[in-house]
Amino acid sequence: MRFTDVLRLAYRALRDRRLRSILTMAMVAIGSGLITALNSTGAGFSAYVTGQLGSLSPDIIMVLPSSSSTLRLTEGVQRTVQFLPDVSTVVPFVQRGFLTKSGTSSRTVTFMGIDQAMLPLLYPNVGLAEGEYVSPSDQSGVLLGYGVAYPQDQVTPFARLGQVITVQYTDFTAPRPATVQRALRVVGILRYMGAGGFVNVDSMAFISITTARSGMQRADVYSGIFVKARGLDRADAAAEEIRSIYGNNLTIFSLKDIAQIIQNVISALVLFIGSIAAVSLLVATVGILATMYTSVSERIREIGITKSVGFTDRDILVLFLSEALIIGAVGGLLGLIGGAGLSYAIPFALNSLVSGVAPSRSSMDGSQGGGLGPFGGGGSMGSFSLTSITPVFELPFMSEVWLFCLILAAIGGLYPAWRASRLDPIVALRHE
Amino acid sequence: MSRGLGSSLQPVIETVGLTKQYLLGSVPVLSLDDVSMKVTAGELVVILGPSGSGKSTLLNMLGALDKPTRGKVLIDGVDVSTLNGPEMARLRLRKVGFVFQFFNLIPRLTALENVEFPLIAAGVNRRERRETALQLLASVGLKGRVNHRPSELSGGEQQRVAIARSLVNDPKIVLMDEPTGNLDSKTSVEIKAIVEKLNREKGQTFIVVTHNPVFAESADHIVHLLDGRISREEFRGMRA
Repeated sequence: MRFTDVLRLAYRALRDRRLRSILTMAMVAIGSGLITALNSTGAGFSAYVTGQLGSLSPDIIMVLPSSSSTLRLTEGVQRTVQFLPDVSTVVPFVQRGFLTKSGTSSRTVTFMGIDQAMLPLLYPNVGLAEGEYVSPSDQSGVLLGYGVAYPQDQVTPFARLGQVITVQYTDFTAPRPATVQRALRVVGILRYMGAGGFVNVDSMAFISITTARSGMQRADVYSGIFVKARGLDRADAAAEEIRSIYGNNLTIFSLKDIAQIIQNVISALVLFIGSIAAVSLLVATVGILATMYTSVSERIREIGITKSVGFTDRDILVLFLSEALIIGAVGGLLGLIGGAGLSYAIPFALNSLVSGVAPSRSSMDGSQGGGLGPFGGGGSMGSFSLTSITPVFELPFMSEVWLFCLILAAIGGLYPAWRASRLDPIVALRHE
Repeated sequence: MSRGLGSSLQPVIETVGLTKQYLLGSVPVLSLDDVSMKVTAGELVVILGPSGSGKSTLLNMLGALDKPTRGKVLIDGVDVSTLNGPEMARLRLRKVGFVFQFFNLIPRLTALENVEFPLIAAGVNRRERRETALQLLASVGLKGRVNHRPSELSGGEQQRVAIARSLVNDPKIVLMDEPTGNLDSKTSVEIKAIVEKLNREKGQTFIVVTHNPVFAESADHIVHLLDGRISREEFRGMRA
């Protein structure tokens, strides 16, 4: 037999049972598609995280009070940290989510009170789209992240430069806590950052510490402290010094830690869904086995004819095995293509999944650092915007997946093909 | 003693003490019992006998589809019982053509593709296959039906496709098992005429198992089987 004839005959046989062939190919495609999509998304995510963190200074660490601790981040703590040998600068901040109104629309926005001169320290490429930064003495100005001013889910801007927005909060400084409405004027809008790092700048609003502490937050407590180490390689040393004083009362995040946590979560997710995908490929193998077994049972007479005209047992084995291999090859290939497409969609799906959970997080108590940390920001995982992930296609891996489909198809097709090849032609010819 | 094209010729098929035993459950049944016969090249042989007389078993042995329990089958001088599976397949491919009562065409292939089919096993290239198959289909009068599938052909047409297929590898021997058993009498006569014509033109040996008296009329050699044994053999010589 010639190779092209084997292919042609196998193709004809598969076409004769079109629906069944397509469904079996679909089983293979689902498995290989899932694996491809996962791997590409995972690799894309890793590349994205690495890229984003790489643009930030590795000498910054973030210090938050531990959720299990009663320690409060007061100015005393700030001073203690400031005088540690490996610490260069300390930037305290307060943060809390508030219901914010602008005109007729309202949304929950995470506010950060921080010395805005320090923002470029945390985000070297931060910059203004319009207006200016809020000065430390300004009691009513607010600087909006790009995503707050121009929300993705809204055609019209939420707030424009110079506009007044209203924030609703519980005043802790009053004798009896009461709900208060406070007007803030938009003095500046940041340019789009694409986010990355400790917090998602795009989805936040920045006010002066003075404003934040005049009722919006307890006056004596910070939500967290950014610490700049005395040198690019001193971040770990600074973290160690802080830990030696406060132990587990403070949680310290370095960019490396955040990257590690995100990587761990992604790897776990990839492993979990990947094992489901692997199982689906095993199921596809059984599917090929069932399809080919049925096909052989239906074609016993044909096998008898084929043998009577001079085809050998081996020819028959090759023909049936080729049918299984074509199912595996085509299904696997379709899976690779579909999976590649799917990997562009996954970040968006994950994103909407995460942002559905986000509002409850950003309304957490400010002193607990709500909205902060690797999983704090609304509409994103940590401060990483999932939608800006581009999948990375690793061709060697994809060819391995395809090869794996072929091997599984061969495994699934072997028994039926062997059975076909061993049929007694006389019995087969008499088969009804 | 055979006559055919001349008694001096080597027989194309020879059986010596051919015996085939089956187990029917646990009971051994002799399907063929010590059958010795010779078929000379170019003969039109008809095998007659009631059902269960061993006709089909004999035909399977002559076509290298099955091996005897005892005795020998020599096909063109080769003892089938010494061959392994692939060698038997090779022998069928090169020397034998089969025609069955129920046509046994592959349903999804066209008439042309069905005729070509054995040449795929032989590794013949596509163009050459097509040419040979078209010629044969023309010689059985199916020139205009080559791209029809078996389901679109009448019984007589299907059997003609099957005959063309049996001849595509230019075999020495064509074995026919009740070729008209599923056809009406008019079509049967047509099939018989085709077989006679091919036998005359190509000099191939035809061995036909049949109940149909029309074949017996023009046979060179008639073998009567009864209970697995040859009960009578008639030689009529080549037709004029």
